Amino acid sequence: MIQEAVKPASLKEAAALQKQGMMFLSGGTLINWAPAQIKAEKVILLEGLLSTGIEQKGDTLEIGAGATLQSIADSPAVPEVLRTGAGFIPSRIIRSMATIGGNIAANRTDSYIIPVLFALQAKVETAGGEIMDVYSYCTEERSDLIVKVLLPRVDGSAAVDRALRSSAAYPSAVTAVRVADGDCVVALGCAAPHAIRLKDVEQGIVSKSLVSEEDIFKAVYAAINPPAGLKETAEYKRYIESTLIAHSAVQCRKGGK
Amino acid sequence: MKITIVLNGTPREVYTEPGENVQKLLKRVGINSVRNSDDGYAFAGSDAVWMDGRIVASSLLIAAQIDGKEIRTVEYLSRDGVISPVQSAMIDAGVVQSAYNIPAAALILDDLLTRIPNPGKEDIKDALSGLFIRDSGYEQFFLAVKLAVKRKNDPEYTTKIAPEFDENLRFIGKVKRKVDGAKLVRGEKVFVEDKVEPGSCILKVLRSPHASAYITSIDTSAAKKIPGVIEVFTYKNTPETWYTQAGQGFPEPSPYDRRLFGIKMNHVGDRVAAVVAETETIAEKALQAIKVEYEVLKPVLSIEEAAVPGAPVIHNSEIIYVDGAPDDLAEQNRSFDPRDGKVIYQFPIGGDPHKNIAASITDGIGDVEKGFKEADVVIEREYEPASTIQCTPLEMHTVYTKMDGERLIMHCSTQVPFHVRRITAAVLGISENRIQVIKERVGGGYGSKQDILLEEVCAYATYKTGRSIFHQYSRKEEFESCSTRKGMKIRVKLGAKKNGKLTAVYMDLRANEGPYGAHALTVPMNACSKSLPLFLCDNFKFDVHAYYTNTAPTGAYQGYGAPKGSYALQMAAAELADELGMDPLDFLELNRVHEGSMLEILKCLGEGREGVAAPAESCGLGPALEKGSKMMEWGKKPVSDDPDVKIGKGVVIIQQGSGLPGLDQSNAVIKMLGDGTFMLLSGGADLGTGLDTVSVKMAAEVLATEMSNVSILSGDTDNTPFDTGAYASSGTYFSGGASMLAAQDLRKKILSAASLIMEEPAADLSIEYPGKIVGKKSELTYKELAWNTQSGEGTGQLIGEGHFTTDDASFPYGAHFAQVAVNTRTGALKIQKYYALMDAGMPINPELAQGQVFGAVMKSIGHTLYEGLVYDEKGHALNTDLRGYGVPMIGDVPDDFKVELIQTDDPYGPYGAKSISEISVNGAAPVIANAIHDAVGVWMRKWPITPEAVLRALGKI
Repeated sequence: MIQEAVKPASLKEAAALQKQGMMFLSGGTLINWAPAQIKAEKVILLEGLLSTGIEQKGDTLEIGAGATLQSIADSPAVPEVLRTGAGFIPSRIIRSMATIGGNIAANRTDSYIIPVLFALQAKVETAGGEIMDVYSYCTEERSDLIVKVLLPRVDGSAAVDRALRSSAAYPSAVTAVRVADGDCVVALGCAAPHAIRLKDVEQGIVSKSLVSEEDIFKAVYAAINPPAGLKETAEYKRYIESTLIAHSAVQCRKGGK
Repeated sequence: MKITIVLNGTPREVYTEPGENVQKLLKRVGINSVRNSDDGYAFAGSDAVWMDGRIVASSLLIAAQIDGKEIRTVEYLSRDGVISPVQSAMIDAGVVQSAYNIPAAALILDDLLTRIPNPGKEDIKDALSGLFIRDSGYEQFFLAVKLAVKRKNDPEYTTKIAPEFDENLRFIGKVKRKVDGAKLVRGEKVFVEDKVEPGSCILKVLRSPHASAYITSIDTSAAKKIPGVIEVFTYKNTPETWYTQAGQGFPEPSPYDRRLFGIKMNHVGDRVAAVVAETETIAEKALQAIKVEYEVLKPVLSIEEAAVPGAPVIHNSEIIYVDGAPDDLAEQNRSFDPRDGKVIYQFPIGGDPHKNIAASITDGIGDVEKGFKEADVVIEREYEPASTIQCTPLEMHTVYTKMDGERLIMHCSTQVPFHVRRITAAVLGISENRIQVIKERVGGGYGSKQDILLEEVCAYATYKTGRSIFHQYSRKEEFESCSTRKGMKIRVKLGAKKNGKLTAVYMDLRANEGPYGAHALTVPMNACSKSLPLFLCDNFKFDVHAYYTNTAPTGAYQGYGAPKGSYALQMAAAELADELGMDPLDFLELNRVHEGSMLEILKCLGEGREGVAAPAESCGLGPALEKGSKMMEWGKKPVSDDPDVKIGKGVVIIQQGSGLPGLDQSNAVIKMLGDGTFMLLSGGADLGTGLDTVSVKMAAEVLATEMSNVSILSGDTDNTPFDTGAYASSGTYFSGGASMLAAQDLRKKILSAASLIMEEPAADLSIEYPGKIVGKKSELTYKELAWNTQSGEGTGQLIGEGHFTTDDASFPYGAHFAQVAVNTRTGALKIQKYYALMDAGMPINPELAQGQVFGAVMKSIGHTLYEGLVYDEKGHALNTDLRGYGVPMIGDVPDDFKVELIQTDDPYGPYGAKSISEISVNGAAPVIANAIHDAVGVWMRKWPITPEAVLRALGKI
């Protein structure tokens, strides 16, 4: 049980407390969530410290790390694909509590928004002032306090998709794809411990060596080896991830999503 | 630390620990309505509160996070003592049933209307997306919101909520507000947990980590030494009394094969020991201090493993028969292991425990072999509705026990208060007069609260320690140690002439009974008895075997075995129609039961007693099929714009019973009070389905008085007369019937007493609304009559008694139609249309009846498509949470979802009523599977029908 909760006066103080072994507590949907089984005795309360704003600054959309996923899903300023991804979280109650910073920091493989942020080439700004790709933050398993998420203007069409047994089930697959002239990102969750990108497939789509849905399907299928889920086989997960990505890529190329 | 909050409009200072869970904190400071359904998973929504303008999950918050916040709970909505427009709309629309998290729903909808004054369907789905509703489904929430929108400006606004029946009746068949609706939607103290007094102890159970094992040693000494531990119970200090947990009438057709604490563990989660302690923390610490050593055995985890010769014997027990012992009993008992204890049968049910068979039966009518020879087409198919399905009530199983002098008082969330009293008395070795069972409001039962799963442990602990004790399952315990629907494998063989007429029907059914024999005979047999009589055929045969295994315990669940029997038989019928080249609707029409059909097969479907052939006195299948086929535009094949999506339609017919004729019994008493109003005492157990409202309507209708003049107390073993309980679809028919008979008895007594006062023959008197006796010469109000009869010179208080038993069976029927869209690329399935057309005789509470159907269909959709426990190779269930298990949410509701009530006039039920609650779980599995076949040409013969299963059937993987 949490024994101590500290409300720091500044981001600097928060970062210092983290170095003392305390854990950040933002929305609470992970640390306080029973199945996460996080044994935190001392926490740093981030509410009020982090911006919740969503603001266009030049070519960059800045989203405060304290913005809830519901506010992102509701904001017309946010790219549709990210709004959709945030809306995939099946409970409005949870969306109203969970923050974008917390979601990235949790780095769960079934995150609905991390693959989208990969696809949008989003960056994070940390309390230490460092700016890095969300992709790098996640793949390097960083734990720095995120203060902002930065969405640069990017070209092309993007799509997010998922496979799940029922509307509120844990997903079997989460995919995000963005295709532009000379640029492509293929990202997916539920296939590895954290969300991943398929750079060979991206290259194939950019170079147009992968054009048809069938070819993209085969390339993705060859590139991934997801583990079985509790309720689905590895074979199915591999098939469905490949299917969703191939379909999304073709649709994006057509500019359909 | 001290935090400051504004709670329901009032500033409060609360002393707390920074990490205290806010759901528990709110409970501690007197907020009753914020409840726990899933132990911090925040999936069910029972813990929802409004905080600074948004709905949040209180169980995901710690105290430090709410310092300085404004928090509102449902108590805020009715702070002026009047229920809000949202709350009244919810009651009237029929969504307030068992209602454990209905206060949260009210708060959510109030927030929705603040954000969006006139929300659309998608807005409502979004608002309720974090709320799990098991009883009424979700569909009527859309109507509730429409009503609430209007009532914001016009509190008296109403509209047509549900169809109404029989204009000659005032209350029966009419939409009337549920009698307990207001207190439920206000979040009042109505559940067992609300009755716990300060200073009460907590009971926690240490559970087996092994699916099959003997306890070789157990040491509780360290646990007992922990300060605050009152007592620790194991097999060493509890009675070796064998009993069944099945809440059935005595003598039960379920073997007595368990004791309070056994030496042999038969499933993961079996009881090892129980700790009574002053706090939950101390109890949990004590559990960890108990040292147990096991001899671990190879578990039996499937029907096949249980049936194979040489399989490990789960109950290698001494077998005892109270009556009808087989001749070879001594031979059967030659090599039992005393550690396994006993299996006691009250009478033979075909059990052979040393072959892992808990029960079996073979029977039929005619000659099926002859029938198959006469057939032009014979098909034989195997179906596997084998998944482990759980009732998942929002209120987890719970009990509170305390002593009152020498008497034991039990506050229970149960469907069977009188069976709880009888079984508890037997286990404790005391007489029934020393126990009072009070059924509180039940936050969802669905069959799992028909069984006595924890009440007797807590009762024993209180009886031995003298302490008041509260015990509540965790959600994990709900999955591991509760009662699940029995998994089944069903082989169906059908023969028919070229014209489609059935010549023979054979069903071979094997059930996974789990570790103990609750309902071992009756649930599997019900799969036959509630499916076969839908068809008219001269030759039927069925073989039923229930096998003990080491998976989760099984028991009753809404529909009993019928959903699985229906799935197999209705699918086989569709497959046969396909073989014959017939439209499935034509096949059903040709072979189905009709009004007046003599059901010869009932001779062999006696449910534990000798059966007799009986006619289907009322049957609404004809109009149901006719209306449904028009609604569904049967025969038209829709085409999707998406080339990957194929659309198909299905139709099935279903049935159930209305209680157990010859086995069930209900009683009621109604008293005239001093002012001419009435107190109705019903033994019936209202689970939230509206049974109390049924009973009040019966009394008010018979006595020609307002429903508000009739109050009800039900399900209290001290204060209400005996009732077998709420199961087998008996509530309206039996308990409601008893209330009607009690009122009729009182009516006669009213006329008789009035005759003396009015000095007119009783034959010249009539009872007229509102509550008066009218003679040729004068009138007498109920109030005047009460004053006269209860005065010093009066003839005594007028009390009517009703006793309902019957040998007559009334069958509810239904036709379900579905239209599904199958994505052949992803295997995803969308239910575009679902129409349930139900013949419940006279629907007493039309809006609640519809809610029962919506809820049952949603459960069945969940069972068919999403739900199921997953086990590892050692028998551990791996998904013991609501989300991982896969319950359906509002996002899973069919796009177009309708319930039509088809009225028939049944001669036996009260006011022509038949049951409604269970039957509708029988339709979704076969109708969805048949619609999938119509869409993409594959038969889905196994549950759950997942996207992966569809893709495999299509050959995509």
